[in-house]
Amino acid sequence: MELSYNFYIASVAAILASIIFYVASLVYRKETLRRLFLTFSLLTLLLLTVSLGLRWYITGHGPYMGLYEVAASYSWVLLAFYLALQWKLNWYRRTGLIVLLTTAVFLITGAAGSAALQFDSPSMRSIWLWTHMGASKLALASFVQSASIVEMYWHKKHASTSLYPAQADEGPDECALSEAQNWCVKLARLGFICLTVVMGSGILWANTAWGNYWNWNPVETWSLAAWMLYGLLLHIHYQWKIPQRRWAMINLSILAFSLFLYMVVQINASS
Amino acid sequence: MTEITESPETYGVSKLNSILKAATSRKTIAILMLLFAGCLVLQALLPQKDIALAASYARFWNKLPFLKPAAIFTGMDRIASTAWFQVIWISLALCLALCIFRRVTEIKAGKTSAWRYEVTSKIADSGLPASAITGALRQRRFAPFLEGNSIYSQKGTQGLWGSVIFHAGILLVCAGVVLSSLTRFSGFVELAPGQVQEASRGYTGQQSRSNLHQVPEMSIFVSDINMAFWPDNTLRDLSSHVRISGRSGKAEGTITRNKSLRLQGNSVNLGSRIGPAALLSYTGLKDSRTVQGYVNFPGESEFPRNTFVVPGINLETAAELLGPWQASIMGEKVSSPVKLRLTLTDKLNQSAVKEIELRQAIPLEGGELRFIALEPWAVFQVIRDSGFPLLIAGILISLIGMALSFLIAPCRLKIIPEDDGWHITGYTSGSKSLLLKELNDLENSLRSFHS
Repeated sequence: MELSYNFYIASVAAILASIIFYVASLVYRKETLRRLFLTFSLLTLLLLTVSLGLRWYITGHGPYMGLYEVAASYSWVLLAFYLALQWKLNWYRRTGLIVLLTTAVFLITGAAGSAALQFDSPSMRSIWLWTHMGASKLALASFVQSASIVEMYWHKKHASTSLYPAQADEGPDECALSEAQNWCVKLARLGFICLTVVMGSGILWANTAWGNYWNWNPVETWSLAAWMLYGLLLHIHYQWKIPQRRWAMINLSILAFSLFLYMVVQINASS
Repeated sequence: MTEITESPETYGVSKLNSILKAATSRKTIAILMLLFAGCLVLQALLPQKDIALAASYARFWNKLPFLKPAAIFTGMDRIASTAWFQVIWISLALCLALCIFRRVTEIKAGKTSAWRYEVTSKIADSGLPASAITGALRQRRFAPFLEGNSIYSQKGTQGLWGSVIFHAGILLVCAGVVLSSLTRFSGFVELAPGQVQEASRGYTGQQSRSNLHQVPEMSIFVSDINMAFWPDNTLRDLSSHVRISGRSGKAEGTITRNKSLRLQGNSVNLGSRIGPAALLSYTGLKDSRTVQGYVNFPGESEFPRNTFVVPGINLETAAELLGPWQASIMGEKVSSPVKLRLTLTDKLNQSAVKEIELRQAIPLEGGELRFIALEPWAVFQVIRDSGFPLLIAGILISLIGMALSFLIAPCRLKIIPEDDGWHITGYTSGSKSLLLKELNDLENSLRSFHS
């Protein structure tokens, strides 16, 4: 168990180093720094994989008990999704700060939680609960990646300023921005579908395990609020003629607000 | 080449249409959604009266004494049950129903307002025969048809219906929730192996929100209860074999925390609470009459006592269970045996404390009290909810609608011969870039044919 925790702490250090190299690569525009950032990101993912794998082997159940395990699993999915998109999409290489910061926040929050072994209870062994957990991770990853398009608009705005002293760079062109915008809408949609699956599977699980499918408890209410806000975001995209940059800012705001609300709900629940 | 415009909206000027238009406008929808989301955010942040722990509720609102009266008056401490919350979500549901109606009308009438983007360009020279264009369209999986000199075609129209199906699913979910709140019944009972719960006895903690519910008429017989514990004495496994019988049917099976047994719209679930149940019997010396019964104890040892009444001799015992009951139930060897500490009170209100070990007996006034066995009891929850299947159906339908809407990009083309060549107008409610790509690909395939 201690070995698993040590790998986890090492992954926290690796993600912080990754963030530092990412910011440095933005400022100094050196390929070496960018490669270091990618290396540390991959290292973080590898360390987290080992940590989660060891813990799963020891506990006999997936990473869904307690703040430590939940935060670790969310971080893993966030980072894996980000690196997969980095590899697949050229334009996505211009983003990363939002994803890395969110991953770091989750990892540090998890480190603050207790890593003591927790046995699962009979109600946790349900296909609906596992679907609920899996879909929630995918939903978070999709929403975070979708919100990260804001960074592309930021790059475009600051491309020719003194922030980039060395090489000249016009920032992402209109074609890349358009492709990015399409992908971000797709990711927001995917997140919305996953959030619907999260609520549906949660309802099915709770009805059998707890005898009541909806209790208006803070976490359930939060999930419905987030679903409604993201539904509104998609409505704005499909029905309102607003600049894409403004839509991206609304997207980021909804993500930040939802995560903040979730943290407050969890803090209230634990106190 | 491309001129991208929003599709023009053309509606009649009748009052009904105006009301429909206002109720289903973008602003109305956005305001209602924001209001509803705002209520949910407040509900998540502020401790609610019947949901939060009483201590948490009191602690939070006592910290804000100047806000507490206003919060209670406005219903901020019980948002889900306030009238204004019901008004907001019912308005949203009504608006949703009207939007679905409007959208279906638009799609059936083929109105261009059903399509979000419109693109117009010249696609080929006038020398190209219509058959070449229809052939190229078929290759691209369009279904072309000629009307006069013009060629019309479309594909992926299922995608147009996707958003309608999704929102209809949400409406079904709302209907399921309403039905559930009117007809749902839940109650629970603690049973040990060999015990039967008859419907006539009723259930503990019966809950229903209206008089429209039906109390499930069935009996529950528990054959056995199996449990296992982790090293830290938390519950590892729990299952029970039960038999339920109703008016015109029976069902039998094993239920777990995640698997229930259903009969005639009722379901029996296994709850989370478990505990030990002591099977006691009293045998009278005079008539050898034996009275047997279970005394259920809560799982926590600090919890106070339970009572076993021996009828006929006015003897009441209050019992405490001592010792490692989990290990005893599991049949493991224990260092100190499980025993009952009985406080015996007779008709003269005189009390005496006696201890009785498992499978031992003690003499009582006029008879003998025996501690026969230690069994587990479990909570069995009985639920009857007509709205739940509707709610699940609504979720499934909305997922199907989402899949249709997001995976299928509907596209409609209108190709008209002009003096300088064939002109195409493309419509889509999906991605603008995909429509442009579709037109470019079509233009390229026609160019290769022409050359």
